[in-house]
Amino acid sequence: MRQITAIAKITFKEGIRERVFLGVLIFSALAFLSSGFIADLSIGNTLKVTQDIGLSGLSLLGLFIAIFLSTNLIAKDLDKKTIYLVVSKPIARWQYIWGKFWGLCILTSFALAIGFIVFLVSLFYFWKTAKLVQIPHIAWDKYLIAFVFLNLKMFFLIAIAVFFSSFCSSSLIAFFFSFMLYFIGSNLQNVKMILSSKVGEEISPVLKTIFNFAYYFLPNLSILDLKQAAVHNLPLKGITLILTSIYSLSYIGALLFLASFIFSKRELN
Amino acid sequence: MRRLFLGILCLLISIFIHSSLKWELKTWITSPLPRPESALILSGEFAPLMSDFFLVKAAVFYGNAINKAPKKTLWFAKVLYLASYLDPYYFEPYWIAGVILPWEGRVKGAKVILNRGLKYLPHNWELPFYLGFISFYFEHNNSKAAHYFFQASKLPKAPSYLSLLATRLAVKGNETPVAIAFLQTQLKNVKDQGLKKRLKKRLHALEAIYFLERALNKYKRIYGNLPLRLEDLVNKHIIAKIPSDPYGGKFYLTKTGRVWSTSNLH
Repeated sequence: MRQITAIAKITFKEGIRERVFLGVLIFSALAFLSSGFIADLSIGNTLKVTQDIGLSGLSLLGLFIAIFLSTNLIAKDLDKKTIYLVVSKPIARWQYIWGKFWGLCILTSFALAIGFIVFLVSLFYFWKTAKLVQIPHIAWDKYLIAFVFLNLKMFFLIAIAVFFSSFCSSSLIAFFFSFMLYFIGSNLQNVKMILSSKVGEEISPVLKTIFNFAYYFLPNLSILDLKQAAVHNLPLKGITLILTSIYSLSYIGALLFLASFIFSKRELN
Repeated sequence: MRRLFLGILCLLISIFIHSSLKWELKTWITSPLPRPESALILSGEFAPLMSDFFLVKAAVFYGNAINKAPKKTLWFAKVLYLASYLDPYYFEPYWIAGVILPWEGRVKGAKVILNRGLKYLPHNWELPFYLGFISFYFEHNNSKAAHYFFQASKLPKAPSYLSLLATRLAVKGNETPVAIAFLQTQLKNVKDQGLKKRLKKRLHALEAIYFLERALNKYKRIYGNLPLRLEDLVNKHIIAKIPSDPYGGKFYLTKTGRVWSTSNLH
């Protein structure tokens, strides 16, 4: 456990030192602060647009750190041969994987927490100063739930990125695979909905069978996306949230155990 | 130094070319739209944000009143459908579809969008209210309108007059005053100045029509039949003059005895 904590700490510090990290954080803070002014372009409930920009910005921020920084930091260890320093110490390779994962999770949560606070402050300001006919109700509690699930989603993405980094020779390939899986995972629910609609009737049964297989096998990230529930104050079922959390944690576990297994067999030269 | 000079020169050339390019708002706004399904997949978790983007496009299109050609109003209906498809819980696309689309000759499109909205916002009284108004005013189907108004009156926050309106409709059609009441209700909820101006213009036109309809009723009561032309109302001193149409057209009496304008209120 001590070894994992040590690697997590180093990863966190390394990530914080990355200039890109700071740049992304500043950029998203600016986006949150200006969201209210951009929203004025729309008509009707402009506060909804402010909320969409804020939550999407938060998602993008997390996405960048979870995929880009994760694949980059692991590849850097391999490229610069710093991994030799780690593996020469009494640290098992699986501990390296888990340590990296936790370090990246803490780093992402740290960035998301800063972003979330800036977003909430700006939203509160735009909410109080909004000149609308009907000031919409803002479900702050649902925002908190959506934020927790956004973190969980990012942990999921980090696990995916760590998994691909454990065997891909280049960070670019690992990034590409992780992004593709993110794209597919975010759309599984959408595709399912389209297939069950009228449009789906024109699609061949073979394709539908492949999709059904993919639906249960691939990581479903769309169920962790509670942005719409927070913005529109949609009802959330406690049992669904618990099951979704268990599903994500067990999938993350599967990815990390597999990554540890592959990484322990990998030749480092 | 020479490299810096060349760099600045290249930048100036590109700025000059960019400033001479004709960028037309018209082309930007009515650019081809993707299929809703493709747009949903491509935008992934950012679909609500894309919905906001398409609604801004719709608002800019309507605010500028770029073109009234049928092809353009079809684009307007499509962009609203797209916005509602990307974020089905977003009320504004339904609101514009209910309040503006039917007046632009897109009754069917408005109904498709609103019916989809009923599925996602079942507790919102305004959606069945708009559907009721469309059935009543544009389709002259009073029983269907009464059904929608009853449905709306049962929902939370629905105004108390809705149930009364539904009962009245079930008995007799009285289109213009209902349309005036409808527009007055909408005006109270509008903050956007451009939209407000356009709704007011339509309201003035309807008020002028209602004024003429009342004068026609008075004429009928006195002379037992309708006049041949609206000018007869002035000749027989029932009204001082025929009000002007804010859309620039001229009011006339149709063969069915209805007051309408040569501008078609567009």
